[in-house]
Amino acid sequence: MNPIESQQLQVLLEAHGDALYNYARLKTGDATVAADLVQDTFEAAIKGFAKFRGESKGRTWLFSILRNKIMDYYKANYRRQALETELEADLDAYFTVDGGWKSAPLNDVPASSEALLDQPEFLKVLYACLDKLPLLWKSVLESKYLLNKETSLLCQDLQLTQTNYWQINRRAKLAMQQCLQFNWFK
Amino acid sequence: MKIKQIVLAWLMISCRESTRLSEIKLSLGINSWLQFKLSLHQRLCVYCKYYENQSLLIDQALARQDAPVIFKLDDASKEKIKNLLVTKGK
Repeated sequence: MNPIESQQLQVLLEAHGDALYNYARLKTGDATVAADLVQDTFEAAIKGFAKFRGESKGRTWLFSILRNKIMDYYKANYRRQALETELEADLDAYFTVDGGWKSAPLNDVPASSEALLDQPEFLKVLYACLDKLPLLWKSVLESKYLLNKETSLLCQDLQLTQTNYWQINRRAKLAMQQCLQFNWFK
Repeated sequence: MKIKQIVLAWLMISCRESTRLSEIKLSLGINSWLQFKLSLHQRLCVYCKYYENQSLLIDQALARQDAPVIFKLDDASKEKIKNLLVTKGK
């Protein structure tokens, strides 16, 4: 890497460092891990700078590297939990034998719910709820946005059958919704 | 009477199945027959509609790359990355 390329990356760091860190911090829930992932992102950017060549915006390019780093982090850490959480992923806690809700579980979201996505306080609560999930469940919810792949390929990446994928997806969503219900939509 | 029961069983899905279809609908889309059965169920079961609404909101939040910046990279970490870039650029 030459000094000009190094300077270009420094400019990108100044411009997008906080946004990258914020994203990693929200996704991992850990300040140290997030800072490390941003550093890993720039290390990968140094190695891959020749490939970049300005074909996409610097911010887009760095985010695509970071998303892969976050997914790698998830995968490296959830394997230990995988079997246990798969077994826990059944939905019987929520549904009766004939498939009805066991109890009235949820309130509706407000009509202006999209405005919530711009509210830092709501996002803090949402990501705090996400952090409470087992890492495999979190990976299932996040993977489609981090990897931008079809479900069948995500299942391969996560080493899950499609049935388990959808079951964990729903189990994770229900846990998230109950957490949001308690902490926001009460 | 029996025919009515058979038709109802054919049309109606459980809440458990409804949440499964909602997730597939939000991720991949579902065909119009399943969409019809899901909509019919959701007209009768408000909680399944709430489930889908909340699920969509969660998906939209997780999909956002440009979330409002809540956390900032601390100066020490930024400096560490800068030094790395300077070193590699020499």
